Amino acid sequence: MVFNTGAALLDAIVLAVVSWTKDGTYGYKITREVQQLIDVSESTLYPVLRRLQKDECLEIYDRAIDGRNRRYYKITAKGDAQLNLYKAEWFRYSRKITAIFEGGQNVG
Amino acid sequence: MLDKQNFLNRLQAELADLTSEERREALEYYEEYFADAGEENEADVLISLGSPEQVAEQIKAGLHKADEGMFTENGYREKAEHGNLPEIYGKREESRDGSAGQGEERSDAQDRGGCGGGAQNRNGYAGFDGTQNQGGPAGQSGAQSQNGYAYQNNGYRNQTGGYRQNGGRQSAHGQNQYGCQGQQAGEKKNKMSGGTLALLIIFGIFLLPVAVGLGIGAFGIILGILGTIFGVIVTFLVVVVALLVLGITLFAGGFPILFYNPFGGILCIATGCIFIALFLLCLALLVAICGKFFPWLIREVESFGKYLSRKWSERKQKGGRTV
Repeated sequence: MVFNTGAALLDAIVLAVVSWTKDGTYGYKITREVQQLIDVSESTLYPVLRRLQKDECLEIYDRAIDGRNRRYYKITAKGDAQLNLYKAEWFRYSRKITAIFEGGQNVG
Repeated sequence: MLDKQNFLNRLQAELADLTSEERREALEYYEEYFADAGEENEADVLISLGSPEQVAEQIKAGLHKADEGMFTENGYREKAEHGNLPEIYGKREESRDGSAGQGEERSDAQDRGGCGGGAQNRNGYAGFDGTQNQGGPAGQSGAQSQNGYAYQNNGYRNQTGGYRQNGGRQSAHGQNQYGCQGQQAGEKKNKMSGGTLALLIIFGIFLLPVAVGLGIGAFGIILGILGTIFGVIVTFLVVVVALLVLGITLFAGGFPILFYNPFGGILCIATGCIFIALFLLCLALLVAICGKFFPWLIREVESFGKYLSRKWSERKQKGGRTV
């Protein structure tokens, strides 16, 4: 991708991807899904997940899979609110950029 | 050749200076990651993860950032922008930061897009975002911190800082709150939350005298201003009343004098007239002040107050959204 994915956008993308699955999803799957969308290195996501978890945007729980535990991440109400905010900001922002590209009218 | 266990061991060694909880969390995550990827993909995962040192660097940078932004956002933000970021990834970015704020990034980004250099083609957005949030001059530092993030999540607080400034939300306060509410993990997390709380309280104690002093000072200033205004008004009213009394006295007193000293009498009456005219003039002025100036002043004060309270609630709101 030509454009950089900034911190807030990466947070938003991770929140969005996690929110797709109601029961939560796990690190490897999140990484796969995010990587299908944007170009991030595999090791970028752990710190993001950890931080979102600390900020209580994500909650974690463990589930036994194949005789081991797998950690699941699930979006919280706060994470949901944050995601909505990111979405609103993104739509506002992308509208402006689109307006610029389409001839510079209505750029506010 | 590095294998999974080797990778995890080296990662563990690299994370030696973290708390044992953070180390355990990170190691568990990557252990799971390998397990979920499956043995057949182990080699691929090892390649795409990079060296354990790089992975550790990212983990630390992410933690570092999260902890740093906790208390005094501005102070720590500075540090992140100029201190720890360039040290790690800044060198790669330097030449590009120069151009980021100056509109060259478009061609730059295109070049990168053309050659598809994965990690490197991220500057366009960074410069862009930096300038959008912070205006021209700040564009460079904005771009810098964001670039950092693209690699290692480091610029997160900075970037959101800029972002929030624009969108109207931020404060260290809100972050502290989250720090205090930590509840998901074990005791160590609680311990950390306790530390955060203690720091908050210490902060509060230190700030209290300053806040009280400032409050008293502001109160004194306001009282002084009000007193001055009151004094001016009273003086003005006294002068106006005196003008009226003097004018009427002189005017009325002039007539008896007319009989034995016509010139003196006329002078007296004329002076009285002048005083009364001055009184009327002052009265008109008073009406103008009361009718126009005071409402204007009150409006101004009111809108200033509204501005202040808006700023204040914005700050609070920002805090709520800082995540």
